[in-house]
Order: sequence, then structure tokens, then C-alpha cells
Amino acid sequence: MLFTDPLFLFVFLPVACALFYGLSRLWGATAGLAVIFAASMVFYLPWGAFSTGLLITSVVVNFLISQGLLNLPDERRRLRLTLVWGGEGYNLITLIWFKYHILRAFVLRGGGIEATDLIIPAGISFYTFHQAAFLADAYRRDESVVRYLGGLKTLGDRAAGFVRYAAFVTFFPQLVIGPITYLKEFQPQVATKGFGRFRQSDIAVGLTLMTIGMFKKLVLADNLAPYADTVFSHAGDGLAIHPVSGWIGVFAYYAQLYFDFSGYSDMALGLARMFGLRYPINFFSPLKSVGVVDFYRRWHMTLTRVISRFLYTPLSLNGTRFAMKRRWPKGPTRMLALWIPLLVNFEVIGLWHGALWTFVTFGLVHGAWYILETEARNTKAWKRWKKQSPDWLRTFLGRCIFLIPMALCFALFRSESLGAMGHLLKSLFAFDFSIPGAVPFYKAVAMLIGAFAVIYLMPNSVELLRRWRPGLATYDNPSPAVRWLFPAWRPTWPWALFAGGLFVWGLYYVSRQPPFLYQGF
Amino acid sequence: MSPRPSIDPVSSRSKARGFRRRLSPVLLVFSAILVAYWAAAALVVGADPYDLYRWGLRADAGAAHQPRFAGYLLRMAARDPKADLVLIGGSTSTTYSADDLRDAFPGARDPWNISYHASRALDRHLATTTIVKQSTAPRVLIVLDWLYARSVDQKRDNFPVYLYDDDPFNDLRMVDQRGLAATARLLRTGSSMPDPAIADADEVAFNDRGYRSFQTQKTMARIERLLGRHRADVDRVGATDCGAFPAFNVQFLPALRALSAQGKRVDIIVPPYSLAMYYEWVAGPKYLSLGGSTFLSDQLLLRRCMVEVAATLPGVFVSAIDTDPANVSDLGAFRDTSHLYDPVLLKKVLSAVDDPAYRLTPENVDAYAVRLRAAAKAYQLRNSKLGLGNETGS
Repeated sequence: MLFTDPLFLFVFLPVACALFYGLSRLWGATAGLAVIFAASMVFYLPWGAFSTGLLITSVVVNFLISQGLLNLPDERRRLRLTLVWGGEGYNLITLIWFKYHILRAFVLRGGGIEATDLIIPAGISFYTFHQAAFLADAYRRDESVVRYLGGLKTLGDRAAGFVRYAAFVTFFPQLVIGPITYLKEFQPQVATKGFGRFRQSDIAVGLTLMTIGMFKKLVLADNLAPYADTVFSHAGDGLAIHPVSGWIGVFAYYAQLYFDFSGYSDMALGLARMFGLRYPINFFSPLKSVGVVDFYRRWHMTLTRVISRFLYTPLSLNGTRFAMKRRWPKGPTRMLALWIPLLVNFEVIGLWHGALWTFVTFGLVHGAWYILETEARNTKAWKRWKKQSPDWLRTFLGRCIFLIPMALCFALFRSESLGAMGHLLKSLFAFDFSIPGAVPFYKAVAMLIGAFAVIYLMPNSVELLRRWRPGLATYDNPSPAVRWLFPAWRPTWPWALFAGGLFVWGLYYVSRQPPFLYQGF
Repeated sequence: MSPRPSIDPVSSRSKARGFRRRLSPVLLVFSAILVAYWAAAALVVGADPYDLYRWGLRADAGAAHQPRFAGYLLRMAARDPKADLVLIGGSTSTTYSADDLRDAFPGARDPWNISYHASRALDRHLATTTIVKQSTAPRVLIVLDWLYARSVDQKRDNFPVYLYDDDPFNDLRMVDQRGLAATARLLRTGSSMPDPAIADADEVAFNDRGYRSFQTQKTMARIERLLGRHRADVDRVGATDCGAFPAFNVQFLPALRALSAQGKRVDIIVPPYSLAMYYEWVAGPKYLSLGGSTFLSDQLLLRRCMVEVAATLPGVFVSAIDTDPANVSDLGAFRDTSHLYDPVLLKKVLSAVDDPAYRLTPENVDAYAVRLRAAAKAYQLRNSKLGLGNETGS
């Protein structure tokens, strides 16, 4: 089911909300969580029985392993380690098997990709990471895990524990495209007395967030899509592309991907809030970033922090220790402690999207860019200039320098192949204006101006709803919004009508239902 | 200037307390939207403007030709018990009104034209199979577009597939501005579609605009350049066997065989592309993703494959007015290189269906291909409207 499907919006959601609040009031938090689990299964079933079976198996396996980890005493360290690595291995192998079709085709048939190989079970990348992080926390006996799932003695306790765990993993707002959540963010909210109690403020804030996300997806992203699709399909076919059309396509995709993905995340935050839960913020005006370092603190933040926690940090720490033990000089130490971990980190982020050379290159380019920027910001000259120059100038220049390289990186991300990207680059910089345009110029430019006005001038959803704490802070980001342009949201009639208007505007496009772009990952 | 403070997640408890005292305007507005939507959904699904269900009002009156709404009237066409002829096609046949079809086929009293612009393999297949499964019309005309030479999974943007699939839950998507307007029309006039005269006039106006913008010296100069540039490679050899056309083999042929097995008369119409189109679709960047560098050869092979299959199926015939290349050499008769505009030639396309002179058979198809290939290869731009080129055309 898609968040923008009328069946979801007008039937599933009201019914799920009503059951959740009704049964929570009657039978308590576990009943509410049981509704969440059941509703999530109904939500997920349209993706097919096989995908649903795979999801349930994954939940059961991880739950059983977590129980083993919690119940075994610390003295049996080896067995606990075997269990946690077995669980992480299961997660990783299922992810690789079902996501990386090249591998599957190679193992099953010695090559030759078939159409069925391309079908990736919905949300597998997200719920796998979700549970991988959970198992690591269970191994460490994180307080939230112990409180949520510890001490389950009887069969009834275990059944209730399983329902609680399954609700955490499968909660439908975040099941398919995240945000990837830690149990320590979820458990304290479920443990409060207020959980399952109906609060108008939760519904109002949730509906507003959901509406903003829906507007981003249906009105902005889906109306930019045709321009990007035309240009990238031309590039894929090796056709001549008018440079202006090419740039329109590049920026259309840049904005489309942002609105599509952040729209989904806003909807996820809003939907979770309608059930009284706050989820981690996944986007914070990433296109207003002043560099790639800043960008990754604002774009798909929950993936960044998971990869950083489980990959970058261990690699960097071990690299530092290794180099220090051998008293290596500064240069090689920095390479081992920073550059290589960063490159691996970004390569894994790239490959997480799929086994394509475009994603491999995307990861490499971003890794190299991140290293370059980190080193540049570490120089004395930069630090001196930072002290002397005004904030607005650095922000302005940072955004200007950042814009085109990042748009081109996402063009690489969107391209069908490296060859197609090469062809697009040639077309962009060949300045051959004799080629007929591939997209309607005035309409496309008007659409882009509108989209980038929203990006640069409007506050993001978190800033807009800042008085109502719409999500959990993932990174501490300074707010780049021009605040005097937009007052904070309040539960008043003007804001209610504004949100209602955006919702109805979105409904105008409700008959077309292109999937969210990140569903493909 | 120092950095702005970050969004500080402050407790909202005190605000929530004040919030509880009154009913939130946000809840009221969204409750109103929810109720309004359910009411609209009940009205649209109950009235059934697209004739999808067993219930609802009769929605078919005056719907026989609606190029802008063709995606929505498939079921009406298929379920019309009086329908005696159905034309399935793309933009090359949207221009035919119900009267045009009656004139061309005197036996037809209730013809339907479910041709629509920018059709693609997947939605065309849906249209054809809907007719195969549900229509009782004894005669079906199908335009053998370029799209059958392409992949099976291309779909027209915004084609309402959800109306015709097996999932009843996604039918709610029809509760949109178009569905509401169709329902209102149905309740007001007894037809869910706009007045056919208005639809016809819209189509004529659309064609007229296209014709005016195409008939310029600048456009002809562009085509002239294309002719010069691609004279050598316009007839580049492409696919060599019928297996190269997935949409044709996987989608079209099974439907065609089913129609034939039902005892229907099926006429396959080869669309009258101008000879210049073969140059444009080989070379024009705007169109290349639709055509391809071997477009002419592929089209000729597709037609031969079609003729060979038709010869094995009872009641299936293939016709083409470009058996005489002079019919498609004058760009003055076109609104762009692929769409005929001239009313006389448009009528000829229909009358050719029953004219043995324009029928393609296994005996004459190779000669036809040689003739058309040669005519395309030697084509010199001709436009009687602008006074360009010689009178004999090819």
C-alpha cells in the first residue's frame, strides 16, 4: 500500500487509528502494539505473500536471537558472540541475496538476469538495517532492549514480547523506506503512561506533517518527474540532448528525489505521530547545505548514523589504534584513520542502493569529496578565513559551490549506466544549441523555479512545526530557514485551512500513483 | 553573524493541555475532508460513470468517440451490447468520429473509436484484451502502430490501468476531479462523457493547431536537412525475424487469435506514416526513444510478420494505403510527419480496409516492402500546401 493511495488515506488510516486508540484504552499498550503489528501486516500484504513471509521470518529470527542474547549470562560470551554474528549474518545474507540480483543470477544460473531477479522485497534494506542495529543493542544489553524484551518467562510473556518487537520493526510508517530507528528511541515512548491515549495535538501535528509530505510527493516530485525521465531516458538511449534540456533534467531530478524521499519521511513522521510516537528526523533541508559534510548531516540522516556507527567509527578507531601503536607519521595515520574509513563508509552507502557501477562511482565520488572537504576545512587558511568572513558570505558561497557538483552526483545516481552519465555530461557541456529541445522549456523552467523557491525560501517541515517537536533530533543542525518569512505552525484555523488546502491540492493528483523512488532500494 | 540556534525539542505538554480545551481546527478541517471524500466516493462508485460494475447508471450514451477520455471508456465500449464495430488505435486514428466510421462502413450503426493519443504497448494491450473478453461487436479494426515493435512494458503516462486490473480496492483512485466531473455529467445528462460534438471539435482544433505549426518553411527546412543527413542510413537493416518484436508476439498476437477464434472480422490497418517520418524517427532526438536507427526496416518487417500471421487466421485482413507511396509523400497532407491530416486521405484509410487494391497478402507483401523502402530511400521533400517539391512526389 502506498501512503498516497486513497485506500490508505481514507480507509486504512482512520480504521487503524480508531482501533489503536480504542483497544489501547480498553486493554493497554500491548493491545495498541498488537493493532500496530496487525495493521502493518495489512499494509504490507499488497507487496505479496512471499515478501510478507520473508519479513515475518526475519522478525521471528531476530526476535529469537535477541531472546538468546538477553537470556544467556555474560560468562557464555562465545555463545553470545556466535548468536549475534549468526543473526547479523542472517540479516546480511538475506539482504544481499534478495537485493543484489546479479549475485542471485550468478549463483542460480551462472549469469543472465531475468525479470524476476529484479523484484526486491519491499523495505528489505530498511528493516534489515533496523534489526541489525537492534541485535547489536541486544548484544550490549542496552537498557531499552532489556526493558522492552527482557525477563520474558512464560509463554504469554513471550507472545506479548514478540508482538511488541514485531510492532517496533514493522510499524508501517517506517517499514518500507525508514527512517531507520533505534529501539532506545521507540521504547521510552511506548513505556509512558500516555502511550495509546488519544491527544488532539498528536493527530493535528501528524496530519499536518503527513499533508506536507503528500504535497511534496504528489504535487512537486511527481510533476518534476517527466522532465527528469525524458532527459535520462534520452541519455540512456545515447540520443543528442540540448544542453538546456539536459540541465533542466539534471535539476528536475535533483529536486524530484529530494521532494520524493523527504516527502515520504515527512509522511512517516506524521503517521507515526498520529499514533502518538515521535520518530527520528531523516531530512533537514539538505539542499541548503554548504558542503558535502553538512549535506550528510541533513540527508537520509538515519542511514548516515547507522553506517557511521557500525562501519566508520569501528574502522576509524581501529585504524587510529593500529597507526598509533606503530607510531606512524601524521599522513599515513590520517589515511588509515580517516580517509580509508570514509571511502569504505561511502562505498557501502553507494552499494546499499544496489549493485550498479553508477552507485559504486557515486560512493567513490562522495567519499573523495568528503575527504577533500574535511581536509580543506582543517587547513589554517580556512580557519583564518572562517574567523574573518561573515556567516552569510560563507553560507552563500558554500551553497553556490555545492549546488552543481551535488546535482551532477545525483544525475550519476539516476543514470542507467556510466556510459549514459558520460553521454549526459558531454551533452551538458558541449553547448550544441542546434539540437531540438527534449522538454517543454517554459513549463519546465516555471516548475523548477517553483520547486527551488520552496527549497531555498521555505522552512522545512520540522522548522515549521518547531513548537510541537515533530520528530527526534538525529543530528544537531542549525536551522537555515528565513524564519521571518514563515511563522511557526499553530493549531489555528488559518493553519488548518492551509493544511487542508495542501491536502486537497494533493488529492487532485491522487489517481496517478507512481511509487516513491526509494521503494526501489 | 552567529549561526541560528538549532531546533530545540522543547516539551509540548503545556501546549497540549491548552489544546485539549477546544476541538482542534485541524481535526475539524480534516474530518470535513474525510466525510466529503467518503460522500464523493459513494456517489462516484454508486453512479459508476465508467461502467465498471453491475450497478450504476447507464453511462454509454454519446461516448462512442472521446480521444481525450478513451482510457476511461474501454469498459463502456466493451459492454455495449449494440456495438457493431470497434476501432482500437493510437494517435493516427483519434480523428475518426462515429459518423466517419458509419460512412466508411455502411453496415455499422453503433461504432466505437477507442483510439487515444500517446498509446503504448501495455495500455493498448489492456484495451485489446478488454474488447476480446467483453465485447460482442462482430467487427474490430486495429491499427498496427510502431509501438508493437517495441518492448512490452511501456505504458502511457496516467493511463487508468487501475480501472481494469483485478484489484477492486484501487478503484478508489477514480474518485478524483475527472471522476467527479464524469459523475456530475452522468447525473445531469445521462452520459458520463462530454458531448461527442464537443469532443470531435476539440480533436479537430487540436489537429488544426498541429497542422498550422507544422506547415512552415522552417519545419520543412529542418526535414530537408534530415533527408540529406540520413539518406544513406534510413534503410539500415535491423531485426531479421518476427521474434524481435515482443509486444507483437506476446501481447498482440494472442489477442488477435482470440478475436479470430470468436468468429470476428478483424481488420489490421497499417498507419499511413509519411515517407519523411522514417527519416525523422531515425534521426530526430525527440523521437528516437520511440523509434530507432533501424525504424524503417523494423516497420517493414513488422508488417510482413503481420501479413504472414493474418494469412493463417480466418477473418483477419491487413490493409495499407502506402501500398501506393504517393499517398504518403506529400507533407502538405500531414500535421506532422507521422499523422495524416488531409480529410480525403483519412477517409481513404478507412475505405481501403475493404478495398482489395490496398490489401496486403503474403503474395504481395515483399513487393510492397521493396517499393516502400525504395520510395523512402529516394524521397525528396514534397509539400503541396507550401509549394515545395515536384508533383509526383516520390
